[in-house]
Amino acid sequence: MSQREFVESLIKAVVENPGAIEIEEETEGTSRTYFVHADPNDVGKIIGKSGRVVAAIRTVVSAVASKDKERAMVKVVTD
Amino acid sequence: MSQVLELTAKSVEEAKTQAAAKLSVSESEIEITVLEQVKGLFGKSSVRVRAEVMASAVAAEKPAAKPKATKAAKPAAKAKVEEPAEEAAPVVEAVVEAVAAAEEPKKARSGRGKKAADAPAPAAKSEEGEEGAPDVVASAADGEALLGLLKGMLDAGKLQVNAEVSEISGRYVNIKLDGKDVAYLVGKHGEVLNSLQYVLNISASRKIANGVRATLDGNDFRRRREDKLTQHAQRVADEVIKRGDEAVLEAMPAFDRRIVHKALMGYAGVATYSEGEEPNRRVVIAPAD
Repeated sequence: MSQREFVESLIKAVVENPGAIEIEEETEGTSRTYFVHADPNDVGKIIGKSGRVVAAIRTVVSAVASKDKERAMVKVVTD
Repeated sequence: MSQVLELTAKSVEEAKTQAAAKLSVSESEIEITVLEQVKGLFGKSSVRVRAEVMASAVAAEKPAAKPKATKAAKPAAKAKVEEPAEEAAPVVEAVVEAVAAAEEPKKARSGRGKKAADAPAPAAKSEEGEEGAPDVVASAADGEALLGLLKGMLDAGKLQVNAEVSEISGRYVNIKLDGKDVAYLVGKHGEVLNSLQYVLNISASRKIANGVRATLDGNDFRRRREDKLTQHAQRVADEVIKRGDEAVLEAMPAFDRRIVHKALMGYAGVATYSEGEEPNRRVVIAPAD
């Protein structure tokens, strides 16, 4: 889905190693959850200080998802 | 043109819900001004607020492509169109940029009576807390590079938006968005726009790395926001003068707070300062003494 690519492009914009980004998608009704896997060194960059970066990404992603009357969640996977 | 209502409730949220019910519009259209706040223990707090329907904000959220839904529309219709925007922009996720310059007096966080705490920094529009690069001047090529980054992010979203560089001033490249889907990218109170701008600037700091920054605007949002905040600030200031009691505005990003401080700088009878922590920092308008 294009939605997934959109999440991917936002995430890739803030990391050092875009090649390591993998995104899994889970759909439940009209809500989607994107699980972001990244280079361990980049996880902090995606999340940002006090989660500011990931919060910004979420805001943008949910706004775009709402255009299609969907909900979208972005989760950064940390091991 | 706007309906106004004063009421007392346990919390601002509750007041909003009640006001929405009474004025029969959706909660997202209600603008709450806290007139009085009593903090008590064990849920005894109460807050008295003035609620009003935001006619201009409603118009701001509607893309030009939906002329039906302008402020002339019935409240019920407005509420309906408003829905997606509301989902899109949960208030708690308001992400804003701490403006280093404007936020310098943070140490004076609860410094009551501090006049116009947020100094009018020239770059308060969208800075990433980095200082020490005041001499950076963005070139047209930087503008294109920023635009490229933005388009790279937006293209995958399949949005009908067009972005172009509208102005370059100093290290700031102003990018203007327009097109059918811009309203989604502006969001409630510009939340989405600010978030997108934040992500874009992080990207710029990693990929262009010469200190140039972008400011985003869509549907002329920034200017309208300034007008609206200025008016709102003056209205509350009059109220404060009349009542002799301070008022706490809702939490807003640094550059919005700056607009409020600026609007009331020469206003006789009131003083402004900010209190609280980002992202819940609020402007307080107090009677001058």
